Amino acid sequence: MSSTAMPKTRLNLRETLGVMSVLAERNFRLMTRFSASAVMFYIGVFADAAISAFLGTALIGQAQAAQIGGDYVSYVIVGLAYSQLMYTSISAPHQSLSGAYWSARLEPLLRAPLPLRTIIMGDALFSYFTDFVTIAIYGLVGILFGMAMPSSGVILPAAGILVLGCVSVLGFGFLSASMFNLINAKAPVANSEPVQWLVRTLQRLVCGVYFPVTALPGWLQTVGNFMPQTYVLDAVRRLLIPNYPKGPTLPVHSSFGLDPQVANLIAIAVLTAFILPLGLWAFDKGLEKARKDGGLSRWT
Amino acid sequence: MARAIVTRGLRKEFPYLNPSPNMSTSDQWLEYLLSLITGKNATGMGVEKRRTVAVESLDLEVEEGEFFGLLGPNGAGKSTSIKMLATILAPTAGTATINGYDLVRDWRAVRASINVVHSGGWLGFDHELSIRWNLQAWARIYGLSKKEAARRTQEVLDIVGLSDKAEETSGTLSSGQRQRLALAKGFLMEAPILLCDEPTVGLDPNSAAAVRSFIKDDVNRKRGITVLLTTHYMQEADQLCDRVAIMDKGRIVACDTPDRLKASVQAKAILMEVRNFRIEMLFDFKKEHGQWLVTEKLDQNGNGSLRVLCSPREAESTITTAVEACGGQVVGWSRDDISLEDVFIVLTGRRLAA
Ligand SMILES: Nc1ncnc2c1ncn2[C@@H]1O[C@H](COP(=O)(O)OP(=O)(O)O)[C@@H](O)[C@H]1O
Ligand SMILES: [Mg+2]
Repeated sequence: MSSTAMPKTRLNLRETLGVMSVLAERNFRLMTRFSASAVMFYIGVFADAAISAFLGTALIGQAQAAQIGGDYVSYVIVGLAYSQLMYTSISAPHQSLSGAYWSARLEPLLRAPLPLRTIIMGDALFSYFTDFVTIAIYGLVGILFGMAMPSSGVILPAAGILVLGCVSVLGFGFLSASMFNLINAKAPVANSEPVQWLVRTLQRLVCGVYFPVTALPGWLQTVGNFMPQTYVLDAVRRLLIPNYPKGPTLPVHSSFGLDPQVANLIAIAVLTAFILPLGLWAFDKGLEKARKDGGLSRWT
Repeated sequence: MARAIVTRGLRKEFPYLNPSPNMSTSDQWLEYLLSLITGKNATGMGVEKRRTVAVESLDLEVEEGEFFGLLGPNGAGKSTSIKMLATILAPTAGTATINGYDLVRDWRAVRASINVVHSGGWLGFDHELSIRWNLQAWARIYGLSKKEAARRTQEVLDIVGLSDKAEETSGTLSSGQRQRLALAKGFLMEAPILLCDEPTVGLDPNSAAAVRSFIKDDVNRKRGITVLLTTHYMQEADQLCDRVAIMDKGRIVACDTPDRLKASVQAKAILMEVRNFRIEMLFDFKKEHGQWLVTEKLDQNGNGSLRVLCSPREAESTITTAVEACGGQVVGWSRDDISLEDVFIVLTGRRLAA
């Protein structure tokens, strides 16, 4: 036998990227096997976006619209697009771990020469790609409803905030995945894991996806203050919606006397520095627990 | 000679949880949390705090290049042992070195020293995608480049004789072919040690024989790979292994070459040809002579054979008389070879009095 198939103890960056790409390719190939359901899914996305846009045009008057940058369509389309990617960050790790477990792939994956969290992230990559299709559909609905188009200069910063948002809520994602082992939340059903369910529900309720957080009672605004999504959504609207208010729009903005956009970035950084390590730590703790309890492998 | 695997007092306890951490219904997590808080599970029963000792104390020394068997009934702790050695389960106590590396401290090097094959190994294949694609993907997950992965996949497909199935999906394979597929996956990397957990379970005799000869001839003899194989088939261990450790209830009860194990048994086996030995007579016979281990092959009329494992001091005439006392007829008898099964029974002391 040749010596190129000698087992490795660690993978270098190129090999790691190779693993990630093969995981993405696997998901792509699996999806093309279910192309009808993929088409149905995206038609559903289109309908949802259109419903929100119709609601906006039908029900929101000029006076309220001024608070959110002139038109509700831009407001909600941007909110939906960004929250979509953040949903993925929150749900993909648990989904990936539980998928591997229930399809008997987890044990061989654990023996691979790279950390399981890296494999989980590689597995999530494809979900982000499919999100871009979703976002394109949101954009299309936006155009159909006469949404004001942002200038090309803001594309890069908006993409930066996108990455920032995904990374920061990925901590919630790993926290959710850790529950697979920590509290035995193994059901392969979307949103059945409580951390994921809570964060996703709160995101829609208190982070300003559909309406400004100032519309909420004070205590709910406080909850929103602790979620990075709140700042991500505000930050990106400041970039993408030309008439979005320049002054404070979130409770925190008025507290520190900083430029609201700078305050957003600081808030995201601080929350991420807390949530991401917590999520990764919990994830590893969960694996450790499962190695002790025998919860990693189904009985054979 | 260097030792490929050494274990010292390796032990695995599982917390006895109810619900079990391996089961899942959608609300299992709630039940689990509540049971932790209230000490009761959903049916109101107390959550037991006891622990299952799956492996009590494992002491093994496997030489490089050796074909070593771990033989024991279901629940003996074989799979748990393999999973500990494969770094999937953390040992509760004890130490082990694999290929010279410490199981806990040098787990990366341990992983790079082993291949693992188990009876469900083909399960992890995506049935929607071709066998070749699946194998290549696994090779890449284990760190091979695209080109290497393609080459190596072809190589292992040739080795296990599945090249002609490469473009099909694993759903189209027979059970024997699936097992070979599991072996192929286990050979994507060239590790010096193979951990093999019941590779022939559930296979028809021909497929089982093919898998056995592959592991014995191609893997162990030709490539010099150390094999640690678990099985509950006594003949499989006898036929394949240089040495066998007999495992029961998490403990090794004996370890030697199959021949020496069989020679060590202080018993003989006698085959009695019987007539009119009806089921109720057999019942009486077994009840009265609990010191003998009796297995029977009888038809409805009570015609057939009895195999009696007894002390070497026992005279054949004693057994003949005993059968006749219960109402059967003995038409002849012969000596039978001692099997590893007999060794197991003698050692675990469940049937045969010393
Ligand atoms: N993941 C697990 N969680 C709890 N108990 C387990 C687990 N795996 C095995 N056991 C228990 O440990 C014992 C040994 O099991 P196992 O190692 O699978 O035996 P074998 O492979 O020899 O049939 C059994 O009593 C089994 O129920
Ligand atoms: Mg087993």
